Amino acid sequence: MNVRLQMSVALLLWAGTVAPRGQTPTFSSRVEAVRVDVLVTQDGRPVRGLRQADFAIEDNGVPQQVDLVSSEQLPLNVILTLDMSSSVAGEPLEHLRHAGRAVLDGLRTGDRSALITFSHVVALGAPLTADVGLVRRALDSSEAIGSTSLVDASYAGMVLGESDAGRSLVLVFSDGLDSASWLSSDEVLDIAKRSDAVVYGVSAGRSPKSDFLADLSETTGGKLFKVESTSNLSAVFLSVLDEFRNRYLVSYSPRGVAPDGWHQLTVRVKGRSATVKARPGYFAGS
Amino acid sequence: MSHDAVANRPTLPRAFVVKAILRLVLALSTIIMLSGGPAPDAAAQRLPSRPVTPQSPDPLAGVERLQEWLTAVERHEPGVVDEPARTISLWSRFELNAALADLKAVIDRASGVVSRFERSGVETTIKTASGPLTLPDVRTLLGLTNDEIRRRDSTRIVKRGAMLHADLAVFTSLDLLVDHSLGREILLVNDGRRVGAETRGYHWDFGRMLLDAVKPDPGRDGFVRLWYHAASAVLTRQGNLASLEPHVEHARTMLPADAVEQFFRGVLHETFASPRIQSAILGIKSEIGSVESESRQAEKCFRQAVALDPAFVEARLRLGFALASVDRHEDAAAELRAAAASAREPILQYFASLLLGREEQALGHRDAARSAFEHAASLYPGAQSPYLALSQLARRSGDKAGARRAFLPVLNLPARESDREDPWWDYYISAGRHANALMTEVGAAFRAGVKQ
Repeated sequence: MNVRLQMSVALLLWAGTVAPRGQTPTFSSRVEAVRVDVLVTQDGRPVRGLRQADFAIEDNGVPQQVDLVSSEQLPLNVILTLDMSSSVAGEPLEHLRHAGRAVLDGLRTGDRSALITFSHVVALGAPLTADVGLVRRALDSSEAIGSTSLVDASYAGMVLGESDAGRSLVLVFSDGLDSASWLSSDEVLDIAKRSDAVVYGVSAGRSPKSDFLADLSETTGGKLFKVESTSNLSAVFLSVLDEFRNRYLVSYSPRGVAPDGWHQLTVRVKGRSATVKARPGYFAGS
Repeated sequence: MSHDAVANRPTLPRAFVVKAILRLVLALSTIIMLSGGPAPDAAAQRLPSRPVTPQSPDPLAGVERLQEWLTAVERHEPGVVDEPARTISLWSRFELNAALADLKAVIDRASGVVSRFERSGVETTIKTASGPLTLPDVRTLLGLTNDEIRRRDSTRIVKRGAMLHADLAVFTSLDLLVDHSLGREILLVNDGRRVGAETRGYHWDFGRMLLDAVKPDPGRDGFVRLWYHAASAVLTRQGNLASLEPHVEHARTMLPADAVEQFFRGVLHETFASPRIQSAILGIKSEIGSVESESRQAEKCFRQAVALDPAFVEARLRLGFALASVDRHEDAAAELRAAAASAREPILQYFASLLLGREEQALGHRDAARSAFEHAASLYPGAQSPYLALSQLARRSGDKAGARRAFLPVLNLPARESDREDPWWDYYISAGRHANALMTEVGAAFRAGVKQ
């Protein structure tokens, strides 16, 4: 997880890109910043218009000065990570393609997308690109065959999401349990604690589910959606995109805490009884 | 069985179908896993079973049935799907059991006839529902000598029969080998989920029953040992755990000091501990234990196999994996290092390197882990697992750029499943990769008349 970013050229470029209009963020050089992607809701609806002064962050119990808050004007990187194992064949595959296309149609100028499909094979359908047509064509040509490497594919989604400094949503869909991954769920959950990418899981079907996708979503500050049928998958995918767009990216430079190890995070919104969803912590220096 | 290199390794199927036997009476279940078999709905294409009523206990009620079975056994060419095989494939378990009972009864009574004849010179007959059988009739029927009949030695017949039933089990798909008589069901599981129910085939069971009659001691008979090894390999390659389980359990009695059968018992428990089986039994009562308990069972079996045959590389390799599964990383690494050093087959080198890399990483030996993963990648450049392993190794040490670099080859691999190869996907069934060669070997041994 790249919760700490050297104030290098890359970060300066990113900060210049994501700064709210009319506001010029200032960072002192060589300070490591922590980024936290935050969803704020009240009565189940996203709360918009919050500013820097509205957030309170504690890092290992130590209050921090929030440096920067950005929200929906940030372009997104959406990594569609979709289960194409044999259990998806037939109508669910059509639903899945339709849902994927709905997400692509919902992207805005500046957003980018990528497609990873998985059965036991983890395959790059389309790299991170602004060319929605490329991703759509890859989606339409995908087949459903084989067993399920959910854990391997989730890792692949996070790696791809980390390949760019922008905000990355890794949307993982699966209708089954892992049966073929090399990577273990513990390994990937450990890596999730080091990643800035936010994973939203969509789990379909009635069979008992493992905890992996729920744990992964929770660890990255995302959310797991459980659906019994794929018939309404497009609406679920679109709600994920909408919710992610309404999140805030909060940044701070840690002070008064250890430079390494696990850091517990607490994010609050001052003066409101709002619900805040963010990753529970991060591994410093990784 | 050759433990290591076999030049013409059979191509292993990729798709998995898992079956679980539900022992309805006990409300318990166990599992078999099939790969490359027919789709679950293929049961609709099943050959019709002959309607059968359980037979009268009178063993001599129907010599015609015994004659039909003996004729098929005699005419069957090992390794060939011929007319005798097709004929017997239609028989139910009841019919086969009755034929075997008839065989034993005829031999028992004929033995008395031979003894009386040799003592007194008086030739008596055996009464059957089909009429009396003279000694020449019995010799013609069974194809045995007077001496074999007197000693009740049906070895030649039961070995031929075991060959026929092994071929039936191999060549006829499991869905054609149903037996509704046992009140047992099998859950079909595909891609970690239950997708239907079936019942278990019985030709392996029948083959074992026949071989129990081999004289003087089936446990010391070379053909019997080969037959057991081949059966274990076939069942493992098919992922047919429901049939593998009773097979390896019977082998414990028949071949108690046999490293190969201990190995296959270990593979059975190792597979029970695998995610694909553990996923399938979520939410149902099952005889299958937890990952930990099944891994410990596997460890015991592999350890015994290695003790019986210290040069058994694959048993050592899988022992290392079983130890790793219960977080005994030091012990696991030691076994895997030994396996990696002595493995000659590329697939075993690959598994040993990949698994060793994970254990080196768990022990904090990052350089050794990277080296092991890189070796695995060099053996199978089209496999995704070593690159995933290298990438996560870099990522967990904070090297994000290194993780991306290591991951790049995965993104550049062909997208189509048919263009990809990663032995890891077949790890659990790969222990049966020599099945075809072993079946050929059994056929050759049979033809050569190997008995010891």
